[in-house]
Amino acid sequence: MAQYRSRSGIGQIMSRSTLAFAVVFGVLVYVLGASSDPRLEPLRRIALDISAPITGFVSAPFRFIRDATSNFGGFLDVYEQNRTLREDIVQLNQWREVARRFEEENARLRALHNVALAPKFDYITAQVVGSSGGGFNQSVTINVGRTGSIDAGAVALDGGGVVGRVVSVGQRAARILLLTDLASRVPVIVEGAGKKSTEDDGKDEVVRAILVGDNSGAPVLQFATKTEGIRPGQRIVTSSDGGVFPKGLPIGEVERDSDGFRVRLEANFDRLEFVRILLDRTDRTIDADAVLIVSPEGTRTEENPDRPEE
Amino acid sequence: MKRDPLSVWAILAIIVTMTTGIALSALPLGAGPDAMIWPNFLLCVSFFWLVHRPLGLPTIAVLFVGLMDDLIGGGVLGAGMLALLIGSLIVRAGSDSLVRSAFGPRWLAFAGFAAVVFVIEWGLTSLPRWSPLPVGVPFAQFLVTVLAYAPVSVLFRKVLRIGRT
Repeated sequence: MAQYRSRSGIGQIMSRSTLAFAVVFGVLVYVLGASSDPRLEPLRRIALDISAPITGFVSAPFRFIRDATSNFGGFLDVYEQNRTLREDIVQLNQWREVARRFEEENARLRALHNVALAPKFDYITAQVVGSSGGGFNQSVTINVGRTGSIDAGAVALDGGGVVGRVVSVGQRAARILLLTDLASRVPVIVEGAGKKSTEDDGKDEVVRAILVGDNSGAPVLQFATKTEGIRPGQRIVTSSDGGVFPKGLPIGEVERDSDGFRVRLEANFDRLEFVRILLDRTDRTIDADAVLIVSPEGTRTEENPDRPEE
Repeated sequence: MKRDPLSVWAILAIIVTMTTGIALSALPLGAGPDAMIWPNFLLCVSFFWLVHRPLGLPTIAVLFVGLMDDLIGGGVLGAGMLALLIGSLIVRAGSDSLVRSAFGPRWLAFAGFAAVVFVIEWGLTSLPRWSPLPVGVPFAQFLVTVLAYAPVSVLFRKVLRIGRT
């Protein structure tokens, strides 16, 4: 360390103490960071709020060039696109009629069975303004934070399916941990992998698994409750196990791997410019006049007569 | 060796280039597995200043920059910071000879510096998971970072009139 050697006396002592402080501080931050200590969360929020506008500003010319290239490519085959869109419109009109019929039928069946509806969700669209950039983790930064009513744990989707979940929220920015990140673990259901019910109760067997990110494009399907029925091409959707993800959001399709099963994701990470963040609008307030169904003594008490029976 | 005194412009240039280096490393050019392999500009900029203006990038500044990069990147907090700190100490040790050397050996030294930083960050990121991270993407990023140093260095020399080839 020529620079340190060239100094003498107080300067040398200062340099060494600075170095010692830096090493101790670095190790301390690393230990806290490696153990995901929540005390570091405010630091992450501040950094998100500061960095999001800067990366958004710096990336503007790059986005412009990318969009211009994409638009020019689109302009060249505008005739072909127009023809495809017309065909799509015809098909979509047919599907709209089918969907309307299903919706009516669904509503009638719900009314017949007195079904309690799933929690209500709304969504907010956010722009991706930053990416983790390195090869060690896979996350993106969006330009909506607490001001957009986003909370940690909220689910992010693109047009195709689930992208990841919000892990850190600043005032005006948030970070999404992608499904492909090594730290990502998502409880899922493999649709069609369980046995169909042979009894009158109509309850089909549900095969659950955990989707484990490994920094590759196709996360691994692990800890399946049953592997015999899993086949390539089966749909993977979120399960509500753990209460983080709502049930039934599309994730991807099963594909076979030499070691087991992986999932080809529906989300298009290549063109991830905007994401939708699901906002849980479920009313969890407890009625003031509600009473306990089971008393502390264990005897059943009368339910609130105002509440509809479920 | 006698160091060039730090002017206000040099300090300003260091702050602006380091901030830009961090921001460029976090550009949203694709995401996740489909993200474009993008150089770690922070390493290029840090190495340049550590060689040409080591007094302008003191240890505390390296620590701060590394911390900011970790916070913005979203990885294991402290892993990149410690890696950059250790790498910077190695570069400081040889900065006197590096500043006098030709561009070729300096570029080679940068490759060594980047390799040290990537390997340490890889190790520190793998450690909490008790399993080694895949090396494919980090290695590819290391290669493009080494390639990116040449144009960054030339640009700085031309624009800021610092250093020599």
